Amino acid sequence: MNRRDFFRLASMAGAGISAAGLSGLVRAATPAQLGTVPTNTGIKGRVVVIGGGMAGATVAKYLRLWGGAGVLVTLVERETSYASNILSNLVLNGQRTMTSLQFGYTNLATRYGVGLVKGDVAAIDPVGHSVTLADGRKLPYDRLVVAPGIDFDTIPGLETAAAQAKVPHAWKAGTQTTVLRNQLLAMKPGGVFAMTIPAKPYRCPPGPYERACVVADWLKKNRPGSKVIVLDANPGITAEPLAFADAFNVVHRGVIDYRPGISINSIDASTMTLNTSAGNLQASVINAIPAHRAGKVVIDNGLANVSGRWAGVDVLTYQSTAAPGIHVIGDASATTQPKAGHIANQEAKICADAIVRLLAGRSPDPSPITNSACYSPITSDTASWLTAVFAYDPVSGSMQAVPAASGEATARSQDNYKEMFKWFNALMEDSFA
Amino acid sequence: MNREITRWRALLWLPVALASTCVAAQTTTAPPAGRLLASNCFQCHGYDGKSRIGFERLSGESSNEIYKELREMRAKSKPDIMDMHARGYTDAQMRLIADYLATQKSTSSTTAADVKTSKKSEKKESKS
Repeated sequence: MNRRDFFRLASMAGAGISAAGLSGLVRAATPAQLGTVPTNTGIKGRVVVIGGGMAGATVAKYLRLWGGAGVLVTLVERETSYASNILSNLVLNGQRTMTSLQFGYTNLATRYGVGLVKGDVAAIDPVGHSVTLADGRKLPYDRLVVAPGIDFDTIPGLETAAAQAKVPHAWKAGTQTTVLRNQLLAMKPGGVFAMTIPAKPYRCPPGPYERACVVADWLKKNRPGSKVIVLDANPGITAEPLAFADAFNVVHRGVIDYRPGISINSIDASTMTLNTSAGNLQASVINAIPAHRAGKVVIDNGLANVSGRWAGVDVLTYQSTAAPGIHVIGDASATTQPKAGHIANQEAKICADAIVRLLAGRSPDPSPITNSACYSPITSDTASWLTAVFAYDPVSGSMQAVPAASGEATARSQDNYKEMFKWFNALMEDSFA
Repeated sequence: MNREITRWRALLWLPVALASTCVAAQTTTAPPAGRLLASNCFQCHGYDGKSRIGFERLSGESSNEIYKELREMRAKSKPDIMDMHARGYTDAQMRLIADYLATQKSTSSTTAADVKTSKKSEKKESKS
């Protein structure tokens, strides 16, 4: 990198930091247990990261920790903080607030020297190796990491903002999560809470079933006689089948009505009616989770070469199969792995390791392993868990689940519920702190 | 405040400036073996296994201790979440992970006494 480039990038990053808010910059020293950026790796390069979710934040941090100070990392994000999807179902039953699920970017800047740029991406130039922002700023890169998460299809009938506010998905934690919480509070005893689950792949496989449980548990105690009707486009429960079958048939028996294999044709927000493949259904609250696709920046820049929805990647590096020099990690990529925060964190580490190796003229690790773990609340004080480990299979060129390491808890428990918060805190620290 | 901001900005980019002037002539060293594999542990056990808010701290243990624990977990008939997890790794991979974590020395604020205390409270908590 020449001197001019360096100052251009540094000044842009500086501008981004001030935009992200400076109050957090004046804080206690970095805890000794967290890593420090080495200065002597000899590796140099400019990496731009688009999107500061679980994948984007982790890759930015680990590029600096493993690449060293010569790897200049700029994180482009439109929001000032990340709202965690994990645990956001607990906003619905009042156990968490949205404020408690916010994670800022100041640690990435002050502890690891990640440059922060607040803004929207207008275009990627894969030939000229630069990203242009909506305000005209241009960020040159040697490697680009795209981690925008997901976007949603529009369910027929829900085209307007008003209709979407009345029938929220709340599948991206934020305003809609609060809207759904308020709708629950406004329910009367004996009401119907209908939720719809899209066909795979969607974000957080156990998430919708977990939500059904959390809502049912709350309704039982607070709005007696109410029901949760779950309309699942999939032929059956897609994750933790034992835990959720037990939850639906035993723990929340008579409250949760689970109906698999039902797709949604349209929803009328004015009459609160769902038109489904099994007929019409009216409800007091409708929580419709639409089908997913990769975030807009992936679709707009020709990276969605798998069913026009997802970014095809080489899982040794997460480099796009559509454009060299561009890596796509997290929920936006098409892999055999689930779309979830824990595994996005691990994909980010593999991507960071690969980029550091590539910048040093080395080959990526030929046999990466990723892992996924999560806890699912079944009631307000019990939870289940699932785990999966994926190993690279050179024959298919894909990550394959190791069968012996993929499974779920034999029973829900209060210990699991307590461990859930330990897992969450540690995972968020690994990604954002 | 303005002076503070300027100071922080300058500090933030100091390592970058140093790196860009000093390292041009250096050759790079390969990433430590086992680091990427061991990073599968960091989500729950902290960076380099130096857990401070998550599950059991791994740094400070010997390679043989970590390797033995992982193999014992893998063999459990009624697996808990970590026992199930351990089944995803071969002996060779477990050895690489253990060797890497064992080289991550306890930091100044992480004394051996801290490690012991942390393990004790961990065990207590998992029984409750």
